[in-house]
Amino acid sequence: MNTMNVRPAFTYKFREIIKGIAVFYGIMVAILTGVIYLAYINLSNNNTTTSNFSAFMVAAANTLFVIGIVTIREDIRLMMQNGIGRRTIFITELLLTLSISLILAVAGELLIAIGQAITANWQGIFITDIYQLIYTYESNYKMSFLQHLESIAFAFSIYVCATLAGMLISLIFYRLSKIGTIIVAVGSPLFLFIILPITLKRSGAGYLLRSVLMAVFQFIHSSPWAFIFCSLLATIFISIFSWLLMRRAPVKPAK
Amino acid sequence: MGIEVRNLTKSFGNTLALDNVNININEKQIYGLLGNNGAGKTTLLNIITNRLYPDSGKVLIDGEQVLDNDRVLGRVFMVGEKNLYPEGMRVKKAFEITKLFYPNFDIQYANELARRFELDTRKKITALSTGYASIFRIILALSVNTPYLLLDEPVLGLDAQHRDMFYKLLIEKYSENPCTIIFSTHLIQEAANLINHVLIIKNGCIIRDMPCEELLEGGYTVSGPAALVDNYISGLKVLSVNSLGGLKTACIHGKAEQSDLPPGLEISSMGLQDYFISLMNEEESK
Repeated sequence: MNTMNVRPAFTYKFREIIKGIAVFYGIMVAILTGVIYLAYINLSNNNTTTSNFSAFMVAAANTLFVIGIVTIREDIRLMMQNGIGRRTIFITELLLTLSISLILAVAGELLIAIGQAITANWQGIFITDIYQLIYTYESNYKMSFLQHLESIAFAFSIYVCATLAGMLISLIFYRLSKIGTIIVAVGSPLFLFIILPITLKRSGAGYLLRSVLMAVFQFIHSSPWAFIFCSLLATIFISIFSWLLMRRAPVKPAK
Repeated sequence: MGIEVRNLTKSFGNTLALDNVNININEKQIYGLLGNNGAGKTTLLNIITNRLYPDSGKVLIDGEQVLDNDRVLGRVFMVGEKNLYPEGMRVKKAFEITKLFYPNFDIQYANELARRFELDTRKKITALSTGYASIFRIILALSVNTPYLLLDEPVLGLDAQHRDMFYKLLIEKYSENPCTIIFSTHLIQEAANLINHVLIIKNGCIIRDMPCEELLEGGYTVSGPAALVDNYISGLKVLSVNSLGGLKTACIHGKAEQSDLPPGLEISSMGLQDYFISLMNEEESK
């Protein structure tokens, strides 16, 4: 028998997050409009300044990462207060992440496509996105329908991974003791910005690690589908780890 | 049906919060969960609502395990001492959200109660004073209409007038629509009239689990001049003694025999608070 009550949990969360996403999208539309308007003025005045808009995907991934960090603890508290178990909360978070990521990937692609259509024959303006910058350097400024679909899949995989990574970080700190929190907070940047670069410069283990990382980067650079595959693997790993942290998490009130 | 707690044990580090607790909570009764600070009341309620996991044992509600079971968890509503709603959420929004999860939540009644308690529903929950935060949680509890209602220190920080209002509303609600209520409180005297069944917990163990009436029938209070009381209680099992000036009040275990009562002494039934205090003293002296 189904003992999960996903619907109210999803409805509540979707209503809450979609507002934030709408604000983010509105800001992106405003920025793009501004960039196009500036390019138009430059064009009218025969000014050779180049305008560029290529940060939608990065900005969206950052926004979703922050949403993942901020909302998960609130969700656990609110939903447990309202008779929703951890398993349902986790499933809801996954469904929501997939839905919001898809909406944002499609909406972002649409924005870029409209921007590109408007400025197709203009000089001095480039409206692109990460997918196009990495994988379509040999093609035209305007993308084909298939490339747009590929870009949507690429963005979708980044957004899902970013949201769940934010959620995972939040859950790690939620479950850790005070001492554990300090160790992770100090240890993570220490490892990433000091130990890892030093290790990579060394021979032996450093060389091996460097070779592995280079191979991974070359692989994800070879095709968007290679990147999507790696994102999928990371997503699965993050999801499993998140669930392990969440399944017995005590409900702690906000400090 | 009802709530069955089976062999529940929970530790926090070296502290044993619950020690093999077994209780049956029957339907449509008001249970008083009494115990000193740190006795394990909140831990027990948190495990019943799956907010905490036990180390061992299980909780069944209407015959089903509570762990990650939304169908069962949706039949229980617990208001604790702390706010679990998001910071920045307004009272009005919290009512709407609760309605989304508990379809029987009566928003109209909640707004009516907010008006009676003079709670501004436009205010943010985190901006409410301790007393009004309790009022907010009380309103949720009274309006939610679930078969099981768990109240953990619901009157924390409330003034006497509002506490009285709450007790009356709770009785009113219970009379109209009986449900199972587990009520944890330190204000035993005030809550005594509400309680049908008493659960007393000490150091994580349930030391009393019986109907309130039966519990109080097991003792009586004798009061009068100190010398007379001292004389009367010698040889009896005395639960507790209180002196004030030349007067003394003693709680005695057993049934009172009016015929044995010397003139100048008065016998009355024992209050729940007196019983609780004497029981705690007795347990501590063991």
